[in-house]
Amino acid sequence: MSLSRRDLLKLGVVGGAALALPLERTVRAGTSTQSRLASSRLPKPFTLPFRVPPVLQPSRVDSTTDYYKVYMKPIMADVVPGLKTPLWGYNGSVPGPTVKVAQGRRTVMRQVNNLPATHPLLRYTPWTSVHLHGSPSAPEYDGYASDITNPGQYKDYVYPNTPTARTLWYHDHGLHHTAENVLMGLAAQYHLTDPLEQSLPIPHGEFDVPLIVSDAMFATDGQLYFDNHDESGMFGDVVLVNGVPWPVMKVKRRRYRFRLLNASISRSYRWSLDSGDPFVVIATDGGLMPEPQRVKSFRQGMAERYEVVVDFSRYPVGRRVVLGNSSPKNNIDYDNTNKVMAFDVVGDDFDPADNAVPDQLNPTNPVMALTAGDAVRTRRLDLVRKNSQWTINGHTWDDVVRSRFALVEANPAEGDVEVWEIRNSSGGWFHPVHIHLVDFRVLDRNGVAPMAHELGPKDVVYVGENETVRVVMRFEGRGKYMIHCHNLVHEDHDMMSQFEVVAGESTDPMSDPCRSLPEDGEL
Amino acid sequence: MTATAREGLPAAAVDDEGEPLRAHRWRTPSVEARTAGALLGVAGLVHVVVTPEHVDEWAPAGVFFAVVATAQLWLGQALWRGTAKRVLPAAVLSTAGLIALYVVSRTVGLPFHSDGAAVSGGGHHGPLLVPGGHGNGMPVIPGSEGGSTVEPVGLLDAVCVTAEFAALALLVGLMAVAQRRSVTNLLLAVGVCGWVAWAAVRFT
Repeated sequence: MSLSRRDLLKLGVVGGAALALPLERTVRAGTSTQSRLASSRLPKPFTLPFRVPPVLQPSRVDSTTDYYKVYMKPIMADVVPGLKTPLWGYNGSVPGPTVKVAQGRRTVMRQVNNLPATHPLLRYTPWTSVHLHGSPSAPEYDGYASDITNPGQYKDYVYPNTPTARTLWYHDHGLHHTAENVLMGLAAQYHLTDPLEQSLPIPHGEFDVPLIVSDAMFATDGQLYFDNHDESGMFGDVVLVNGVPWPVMKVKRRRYRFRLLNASISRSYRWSLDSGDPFVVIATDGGLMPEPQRVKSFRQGMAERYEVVVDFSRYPVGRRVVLGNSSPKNNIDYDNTNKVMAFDVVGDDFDPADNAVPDQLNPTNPVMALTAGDAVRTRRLDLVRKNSQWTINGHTWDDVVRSRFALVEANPAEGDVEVWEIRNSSGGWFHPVHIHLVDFRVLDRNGVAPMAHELGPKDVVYVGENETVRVVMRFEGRGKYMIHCHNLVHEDHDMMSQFEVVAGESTDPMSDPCRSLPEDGEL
Repeated sequence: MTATAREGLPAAAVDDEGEPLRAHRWRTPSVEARTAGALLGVAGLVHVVVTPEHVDEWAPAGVFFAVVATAQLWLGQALWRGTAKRVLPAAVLSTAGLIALYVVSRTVGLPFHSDGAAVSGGGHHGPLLVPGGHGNGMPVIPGSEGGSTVEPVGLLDAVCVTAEFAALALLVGLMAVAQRRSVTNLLLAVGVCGWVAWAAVRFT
């Protein structure tokens, strides 16, 4: 062998590149980890005031329709005192503004994606797809994950608002990064009222309060801290209610109605009051229950909504009542995740109207009259971790995409009633399963009657560890709709599939795509 | 003087080592050839070890790793036994190509990563095309390459590429002078391009 000095120099150049460049890339990726904010720098629970998200006003109304414009845009928020946190909000609000609408009035929501071209830390293009959760929207307005709106584009979503009164929520559903987009702030409540709900003497107005509960972790620079635990879930050490860490709310000595939405990415909760008094559950995801249920504690998975009434008249002025969380299994808990918020009882005067819970709420809801005997067939959904992927019946959304959106788990005919048996054979995780389009009734869990707080119309069901849950539903509508786990990390990676309600004519979920913003940005 | 010349016969063309140019083997494999063979054997064994996990991720990747492992092990033994002379240029170029592929996979990612293949650091997959989407939409969680097709350098990677590069240098040294000049110029050009591309990305 006779390599000259020149040969060695040439080989040195290429060898240096071969050995050093990959190492440099790996080291750079490794050193880009965020530093988590120490718990000593987090706010103390119950020191920050409670607040309610703003109510969205329509930009235009006509005889049948309310028109809204919503701009998704970045903001710098004061979540942890002394730090600025970059978030994304619907109209710059985190959580987003609440929509209030009466049954039968159509809404058209123009959702404008004014987010940056790439996420500043996570480097993805934040396309969006807005899902109105709880609405039987047409497929093209249902927030189909692959029906995306890129930054610089917008889409008009049309909602019929035909269902019964309920607490809905709108949130992002964009393919591959729903968890990150929702954690950044793209979630809000949407209240649908109807004559029955308005006629009941349950709390209304200022005593009808949205509670959007989420959790987050922060980095030392104030940014959100991202850790999806190898795609199993995102868990924060700060519990936020309406975007405020462990807030404290002044309450008058009367009944309040709380619209509890678990908007966490992966955390489930088991609520209780430190006074030991019960909640009166009056509504579930799909609206009023047939009759109220008194429970001292209940669990709530991600995306589930429960309306509960708490009677503060039993407490003296000055008493503090704490809403606590005894965490269900397979959450990651931190020092103060067992606390949620506090209520300080004050002696102010109040309007005595609508300060009761009647024995009957909505006893004639047809969903709650469904039985297994009405079903024309039973299907099974297996929730399985397979080859490092979250799957439904072994399928992922990638499989749906690869099939050119033809793959379906079920194809009921319009009007069919079916029982779905949803099985989680693992002890290592729970899955709140959301079936789009429909309201369903929970028949049983491992053969036992559903829990008291679940005795109302639902669209998400908590499928706990080693649980098999049966639900019954009627399919009204047409076209393709998603089924997925509402642990949004699972959804993104990739526990999501779809079903198709087969009817004479079916609409393609991607038949009304987004549009580009005009040059001047004005709409 | 060779035996042939002494006998008055026309002299056969020989290389730098005095070996006939057309010979398919060295009479006695040099220490360098044997060392290169051993190094390629190490690289081949590393590829054998990682083949099953690549089969799990994406069958074509597994097949590729199996083929590379087989080729390297065969070449290693051939160098050791001195029978690889005729394939020396191919061995040099294929080893250089493998190193280049490795560098791309650990810096910018491979463009033909499987749709359904898992990447290290998590269970998700290479990006499927998202109709109308800009980019693949996959968040890159800090400290993790989940969602990216760029793989981090692991211990086996470092062992393998070091062995391959050392073998490459030794194999280049075994080439005839004219071939060696061409090959080293080509490698220099590739190396310079790599550094320029890195500098362009890092400093612009």
